[in-house]
Amino acid sequence: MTEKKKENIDNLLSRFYRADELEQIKIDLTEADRLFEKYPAPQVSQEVIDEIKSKISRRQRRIAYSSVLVKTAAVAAIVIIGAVLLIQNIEQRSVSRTQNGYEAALAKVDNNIASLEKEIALLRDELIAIRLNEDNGTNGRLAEAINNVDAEIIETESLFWKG
Amino acid sequence: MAGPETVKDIVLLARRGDKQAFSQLVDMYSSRLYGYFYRLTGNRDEANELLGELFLKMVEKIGSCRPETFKAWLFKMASNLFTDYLRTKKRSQKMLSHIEEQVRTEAQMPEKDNFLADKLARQLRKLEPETAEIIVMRYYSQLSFEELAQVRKEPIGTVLSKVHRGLKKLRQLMENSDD
Repeated sequence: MTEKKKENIDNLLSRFYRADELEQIKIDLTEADRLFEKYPAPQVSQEVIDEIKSKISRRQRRIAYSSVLVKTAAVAAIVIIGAVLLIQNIEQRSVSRTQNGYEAALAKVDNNIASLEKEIALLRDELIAIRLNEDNGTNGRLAEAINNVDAEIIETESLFWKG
Repeated sequence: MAGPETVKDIVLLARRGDKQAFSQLVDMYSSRLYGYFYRLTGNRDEANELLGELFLKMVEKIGSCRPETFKAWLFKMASNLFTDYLRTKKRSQKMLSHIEEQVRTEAQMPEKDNFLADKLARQLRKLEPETAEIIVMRYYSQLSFEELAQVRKEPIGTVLSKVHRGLKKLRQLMENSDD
């Protein structure tokens, strides 16, 4: 931006006024400066300037103090938020770990149950087949085999309920 | 170490909180700004008060100023302060009547330097406040018409026309005054 003392007033005025108006406008502008020079405003007293400077120093100290307070508060807020987030994260991980362990144990138990159930079903099938044969022809060895299978079923079932 | 050379350097130092830089800015601009406020208020005490208030605002807001346009920024703030001052004055009818009373007293005692002490101040008071303000700002700020237009957020032609019309009227008032 151009300062007053450097501005090209002729160039500026010619953009807005007719050529025959230019001289009068320039005279009016110069006259205004002359008027202000003829009636100068009083000077500001040194006392007032010193008072302003001392007020500025006090204000600067206040601004610096506020700035330190704001920065401290901001850092404290960041630390608190960080700590809260960290604690939440740790708690979530811990819950997640507990849940994972519980689910794994349940899956293991389910597997055991399923395998025991399969074994019981097989034994039952075997027993049915033996009983069918028993109807067809009874002998001592067959009865013994049936007893063995029955005992096995009872043992398996008791194992199942023991877990 | 060499001291800062330009206003821009001083403003940059002030922005970093340099006490000496603020002191330099006060020394550089207090006279012109005091003239600006004095011409518009016609009162030494009020001009002192506005000047103090302006420099404190400068300390608070210097971070938002572009060092290259510091002078225009400072006078824009001065103009805003003067507008607030006028608004506060207008709000108080009691205050206005008090001023009228003072004007009458001052007219009877032109030598007293408190309110509308000289012929120019009295004639400036007869202009529209906005016109008086732009004329006074042009003289005391030494801003170009381009800078004035930016400060006032008005087209340069409008500012030029307002200044010219105002000056013509002021000149007539000065010539017709029998002081």
